[in-house]
Amino acid sequence: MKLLQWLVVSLFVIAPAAQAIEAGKTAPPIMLRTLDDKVVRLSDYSDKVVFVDFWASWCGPCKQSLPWLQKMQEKYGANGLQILAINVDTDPALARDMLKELNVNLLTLSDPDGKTPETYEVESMPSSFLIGRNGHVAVKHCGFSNSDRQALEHAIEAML
Amino acid sequence: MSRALYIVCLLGLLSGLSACAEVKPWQKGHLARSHMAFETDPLESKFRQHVFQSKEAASGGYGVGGGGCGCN
Repeated sequence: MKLLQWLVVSLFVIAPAAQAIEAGKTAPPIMLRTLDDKVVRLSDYSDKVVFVDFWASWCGPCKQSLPWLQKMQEKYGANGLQILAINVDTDPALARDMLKELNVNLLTLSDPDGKTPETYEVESMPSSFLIGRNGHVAVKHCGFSNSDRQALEHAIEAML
Repeated sequence: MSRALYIVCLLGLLSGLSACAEVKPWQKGHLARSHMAFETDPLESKFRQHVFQSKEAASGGYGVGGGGCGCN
């Protein structure tokens, strides 16, 4: 009985301590496969400013954010920006269809199990994290609307 | 340890074992489908809400914005 009592109490004491990924914190490692099955790690781009964007085919604002991200990659890619578009659809074919429809060819990683958004504690779709060359999250952004474009572009420019 | 504290802890633990699970933002693919919406016609839904708002002086509570994905 005593053992059971301590077991019950210990379940409350050893509660998972949530450590939200906020600006200033070290970006958790990422290792995922692209839609054409190549392994990509966040550490592969340690010499670049990385913009990690979580998106899904069923997410309305993602239809606006992806073409904008494509523009940002084309504009700032030569200056050291790398966009990692992480798709969380359970069926990667849906991601392929949407990218084709939007004419977007970003470096897209597939995470059908949702382990990476879990690690990054994504609060809404889309969500994005701007990660500096020091590996720290500089900006965390939830959602996407037209009014966000300018502020996000300024943040990218400031990091390059 | 007092019996009352033990009972409180046990009840708290049991309440955590309920069938309700949190759906994370990236797991809302099925919820975001159009046929999961309460109203199938968005325009008709807007008219209904307008009439309801005028009659009842109350509004809101019709679901989540952004197609159920928790965005915006």
